[in-house]
Amino acid sequence: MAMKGLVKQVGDALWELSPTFQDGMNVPVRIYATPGLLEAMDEGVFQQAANVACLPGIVGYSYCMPDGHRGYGFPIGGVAAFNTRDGVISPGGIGFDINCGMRLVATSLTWDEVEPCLEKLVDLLFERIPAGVGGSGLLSISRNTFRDLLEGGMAWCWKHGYAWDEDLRRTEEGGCMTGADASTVSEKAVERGYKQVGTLGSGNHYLEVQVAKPENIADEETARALGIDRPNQVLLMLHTGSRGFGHQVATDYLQRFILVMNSEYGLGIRDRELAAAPFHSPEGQDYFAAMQCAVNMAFANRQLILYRIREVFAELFGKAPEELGLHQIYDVTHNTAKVERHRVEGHEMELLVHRKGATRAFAPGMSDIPPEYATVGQPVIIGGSMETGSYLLVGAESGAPTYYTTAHGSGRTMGRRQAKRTYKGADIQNKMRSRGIYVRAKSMSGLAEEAGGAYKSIDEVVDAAEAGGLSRKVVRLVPVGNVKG
Amino acid sequence: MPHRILGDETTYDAAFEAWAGDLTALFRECWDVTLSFLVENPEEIRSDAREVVTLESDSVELLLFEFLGELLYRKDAEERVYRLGQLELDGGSAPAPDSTPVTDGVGPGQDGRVDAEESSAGVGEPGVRAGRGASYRLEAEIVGETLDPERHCYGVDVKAVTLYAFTVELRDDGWFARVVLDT
Repeated sequence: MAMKGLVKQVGDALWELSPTFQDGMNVPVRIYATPGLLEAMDEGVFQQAANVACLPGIVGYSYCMPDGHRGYGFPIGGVAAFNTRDGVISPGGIGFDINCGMRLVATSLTWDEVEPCLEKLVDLLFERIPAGVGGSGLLSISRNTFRDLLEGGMAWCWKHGYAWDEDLRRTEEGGCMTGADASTVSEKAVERGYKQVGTLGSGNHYLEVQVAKPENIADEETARALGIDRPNQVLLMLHTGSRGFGHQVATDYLQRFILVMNSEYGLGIRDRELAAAPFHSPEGQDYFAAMQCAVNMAFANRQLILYRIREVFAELFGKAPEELGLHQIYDVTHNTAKVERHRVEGHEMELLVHRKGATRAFAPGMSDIPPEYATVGQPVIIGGSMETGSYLLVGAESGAPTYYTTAHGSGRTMGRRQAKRTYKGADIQNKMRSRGIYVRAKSMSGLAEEAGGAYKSIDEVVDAAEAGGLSRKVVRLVPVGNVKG
Repeated sequence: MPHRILGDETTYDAAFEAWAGDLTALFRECWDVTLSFLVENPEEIRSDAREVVTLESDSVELLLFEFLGELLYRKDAEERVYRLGQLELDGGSAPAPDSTPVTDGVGPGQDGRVDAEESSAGVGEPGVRAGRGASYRLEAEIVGETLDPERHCYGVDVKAVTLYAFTVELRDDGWFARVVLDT
């Protein structure tokens, strides 16, 4: 019987796969989705979420968010929390692109003011922000300085004049995970990463110019509290991560975990990409410290790109970035593992929460939210396809069951190869131009892979997250310009 | 050398299967396919730089994993893209007498699906090991040049080899590999 047929609806936009589905499951699987999204999900999602449910120390449920699709080991959109006493840490539950994440930046400009120079703006951003395969970044630093950056994250950027005070405050973890220890990072990872700070990358990474149209604002009061306070305001959305550095950290530790997980710790897993080690083992702690280095590298990467964005706007509009209102709204990661305290079955527990293609969405009043957002909740930035649009959401109190976690994007419905055969990059570029979206891309085939038709409906994903109580809509943002790697 | 790109039936970033009569040819094929994701015109890569990569492992799977990973690492660290020159691989023309079979339970993929997670058995350390005390040793000459967006038609930036469904195995008709790449 198809696995999809075994899930039972247990709430609004919530489905459950019983632990009897497969031997060894420690907890049930719960999937947040509309009936349509559930139907469209790859069967592999259910199997992968069930495999995650077998990992030692998992508590509550093995979750999948509405944008879930089959990944490597964990599904993309997978959320799993492990008791820190006897649970595990798994690089596959975080992803290769550690701290792949989103940053949203406001401007005080309206579409009327930007439209006449949109092409010039996008061209300048395309020229000044390195993108594509490989690529050197905006910083020329030594390997030792890079190690300092790995431990300091955005604090390093602030110290060297690349960040405003408020940038740090408006970033998850303040832009620096303090457990980062550069001595746990291989020379290879350093060699691979020290030239890449301030690069966009390729694939689904992008920098987008967007507009908040009045008709797309779902909650005006919250939008105003987050800095969206005028009709047709122009914003910038950035999606990138820790580049080759994070991938090297993940690769190094996957290899290390594979060699010890059975022989040292007797961990039986169902997919080598779920390679894991006890959280408090030497290997687990080393990976956690190295992972935090990659988290900090990604925060710094996005910060350096913001620094360059501010330079470009100042040059084009002849005003200081402060005058142009280039305030960061928020920066949030969607590939991490973090130690947090949550209630599980009535008991508060210290948990290691893995979020892979899933976004933390803290509710109003919770700690680690900027004071100016305390009453509205943590901003959540959900990137859609380059053709369709994106969302700014906030966390909600009803998100407690998923450790306050929601979706991260649209989720693919079509493989990259199929997308390339279905679409042509130049056609996509022309079609988008005719719809008022100006795109510059390093790779035309890469552009075809990112066609809107290759992704799920972002609206349905966000609706499912809201129906499931995971997050609340604030504004839908429409693209007008896009820089792609 | 045959290979098949997987993609229509999955949402993976980049994945392929490859077949060859011996391990040396299999490793070569696997890099050639990986390179074709990175650069759409690999035949344009010049031979400006020449290096030798030497790797050893007691697992042929980990050796291929490390080999592909090494060349991807050099793409970022050296900002160079490489083709393969001479390639020598010792210790793996056939499984050693006490070899351990691949434990993934991954089927032959007749329908092209990558279905490691459908295995009902637990999986562990990589399979197809060299005999006790023995190892696989690879020495590869790599030739290439600095990445140049003006001449190299970029595809997608492959950044890692995943262990998901990763397979190297000797079948009746020769060596087989399945590789899923992260981009």
